[in-house]
Amino acid sequence: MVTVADYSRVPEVTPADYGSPLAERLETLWETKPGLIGWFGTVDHKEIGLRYLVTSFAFLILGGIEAAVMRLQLSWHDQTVLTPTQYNELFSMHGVTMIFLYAMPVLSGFSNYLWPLILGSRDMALPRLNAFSYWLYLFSGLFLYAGFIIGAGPNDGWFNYVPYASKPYNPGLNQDFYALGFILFGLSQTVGGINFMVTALRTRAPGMSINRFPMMIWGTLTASAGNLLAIPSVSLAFFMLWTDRQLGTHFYNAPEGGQPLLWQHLFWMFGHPWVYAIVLPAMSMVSDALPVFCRRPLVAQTAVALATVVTMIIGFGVWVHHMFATGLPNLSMSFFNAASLIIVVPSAISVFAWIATIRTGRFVLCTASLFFASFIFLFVIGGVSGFLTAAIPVDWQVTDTYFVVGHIHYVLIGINLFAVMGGIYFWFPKMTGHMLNERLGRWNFWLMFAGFNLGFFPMHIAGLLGMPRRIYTFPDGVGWNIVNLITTLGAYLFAIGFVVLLANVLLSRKHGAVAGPNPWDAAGLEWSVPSPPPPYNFVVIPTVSSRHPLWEDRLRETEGHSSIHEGAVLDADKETLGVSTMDAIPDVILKMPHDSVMPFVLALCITGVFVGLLLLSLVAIGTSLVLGLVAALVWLWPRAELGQRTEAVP
Amino acid sequence: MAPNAFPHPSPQRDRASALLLALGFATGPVVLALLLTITYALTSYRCFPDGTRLETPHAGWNWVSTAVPLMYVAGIALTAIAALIAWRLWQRTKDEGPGATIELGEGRTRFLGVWGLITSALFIAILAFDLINTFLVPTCA
Repeated sequence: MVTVADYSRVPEVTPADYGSPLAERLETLWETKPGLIGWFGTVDHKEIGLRYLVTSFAFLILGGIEAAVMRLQLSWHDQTVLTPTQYNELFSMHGVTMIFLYAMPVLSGFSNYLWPLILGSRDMALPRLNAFSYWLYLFSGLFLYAGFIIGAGPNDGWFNYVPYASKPYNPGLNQDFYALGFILFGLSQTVGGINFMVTALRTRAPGMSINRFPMMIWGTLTASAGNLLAIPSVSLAFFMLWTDRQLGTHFYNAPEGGQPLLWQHLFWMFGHPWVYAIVLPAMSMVSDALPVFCRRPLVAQTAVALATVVTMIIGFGVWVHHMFATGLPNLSMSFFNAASLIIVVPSAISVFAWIATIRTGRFVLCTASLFFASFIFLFVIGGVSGFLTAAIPVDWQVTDTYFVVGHIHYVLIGINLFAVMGGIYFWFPKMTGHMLNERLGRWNFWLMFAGFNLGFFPMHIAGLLGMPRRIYTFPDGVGWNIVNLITTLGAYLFAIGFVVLLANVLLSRKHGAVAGPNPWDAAGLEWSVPSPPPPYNFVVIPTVSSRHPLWEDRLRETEGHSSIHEGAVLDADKETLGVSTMDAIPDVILKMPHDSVMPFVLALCITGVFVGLLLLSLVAIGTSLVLGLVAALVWLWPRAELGQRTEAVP
Repeated sequence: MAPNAFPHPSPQRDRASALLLALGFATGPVVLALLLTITYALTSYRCFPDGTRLETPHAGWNWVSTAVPLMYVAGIALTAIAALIAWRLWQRTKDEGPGATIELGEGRTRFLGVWGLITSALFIAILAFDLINTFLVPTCA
């Protein structure tokens, strides 16, 4: 039994390896128990990270299938694959799926899996909250798709403008599913963001001061902070929409004194920071991984880290550029025009740093590096088309045309998916212990790269030819046939490339070449542990003295030397080190919670509350609330072994 | 060997207070956030006192034409002071670690000093753009 006195002990510091008795003891302490209870109760960050990755890829495939059907409908004039109503639901669900259910969760998957390994810690700071966040995410996705399956999915685009989303124009359950499902999803992202922030600021290896943060920490930390500030805005917007629809309020109802534009303000106050939240972690993955294939550190890393943070900050001051065509006064819009133009500066810092890293390093050509290098190319195209729309006169010309559709796909696929693809090739060996097949990888890359540019660049041209977005078909004779046919062919080529990835993953996870701990000769702490990592991550907690702990002998950047295989022994129970925020000086031994099914149960109960709200069933709401309260009490009940309860002294 | 028996990541932390480092970094973003919110509201209300946009600014609100540029001038001045603070902190700590701060980033104190300097410069640029807009862009067009 661990006693409260163990909290204040000075940990023993000793060398240890992964075959030692200490490692066996830690394995027993940290492993997830087999069986259903273990499966539903695990709080292991690696397991949760993999679940995020698999679930988000499942949603990516669903969103891709939706896109494939839409591209058939739009491949030529006057097609009848879909009715207008079906098309509305399909393009809305496609947007919701890709932007919410795939783009952010996939990055949460990488961060959940990798953060404690990168930070030199045993787990995320709040493991049960981590599991809770995942279950809420899964249930929110299922909630939204439940509506879609019964023909009541979102049908007003992912941006969901009123008045079309209000009850007189949209009387079905579609908007109720979207409003409630999104609030549920927002809860997941909020608790996940809190967990990332606490983890980055408190549970790192000693010596990892903020100036030594790997870039991936900056990216996800920034996105998490941004989400915490942005999500309340859209949650409020959706809640007011739901009360307008169900309780007769008039927040957006103009005839009764409401403000339809209020929706757009609240939505884009969230929406634009969200776009940065779903690209900044991906950019940071590239910033960490690309230099490995250039055999040198990232050029100007201090500036790139700052660029990440500043992009998010300025990203909160550009939301009105989504509303340039709504008739707002020019001077008011011009303030947002300035911020929208200047935000290019930090983005350009990152681009030039990546190019300089490639130019001054020794570039190693492989599938992962091809994805990362092409990411830079696509980033520039997506960035420049965004920069164009930051200019009000240009925006007026291209608003609501396919030009904007082309732009958003270069941003979301180019900056998110291509970085994710490279990330899979880079970190798959760490996750599974096996390398992905390189020959299949090259097919995967070239099919996706060619298909993407063939499919999505012509969307810009379609827009300049005047094709509006969100139309389910178009007439003959307007000059849009060829450009749409090319887009459809490119999209299908892109999809074939993605199928090659799935085949590669299925083949290689068991039969790929054995990876070993550090197959890429990379510099980060995650490459110092076995592949796949043991449940406890590190036998002893490492201490770091530079940004590149595994490259110190060749770089000789600092006076100190990181200690990877000698460090604090923490084996009294599930423990990790807590450190000071700025300089990572150890100040506490943190007791980590054991597995529990309560996060799953509580997430289920909260989902039950939302189902009750959807059905306007007081019984369902009340029952779910009571059960949820019991689950929360069980989850949070003070435990003597964690020092949360002391026995009375006789 | 204790886990903290390594060279401290910020050996010159005593030369720069956390408050000043925070001021150097945060002043620009806070000033922009405040000004964006206030000036957007003022310039919009002047043209949109109710449901229909006016051709000419709302009578009685002409002071906005003077107040808004002055607010931006004050904002630029505040951010310039923050830049100066950050520059001085960086000067005091620039030999905190080996190599260039922008590359290696060694020395946590000077790292934050440089961050403050660059951030302030960038936000001065945004505020200057906004100030120019107040002279060149018609209010209610």
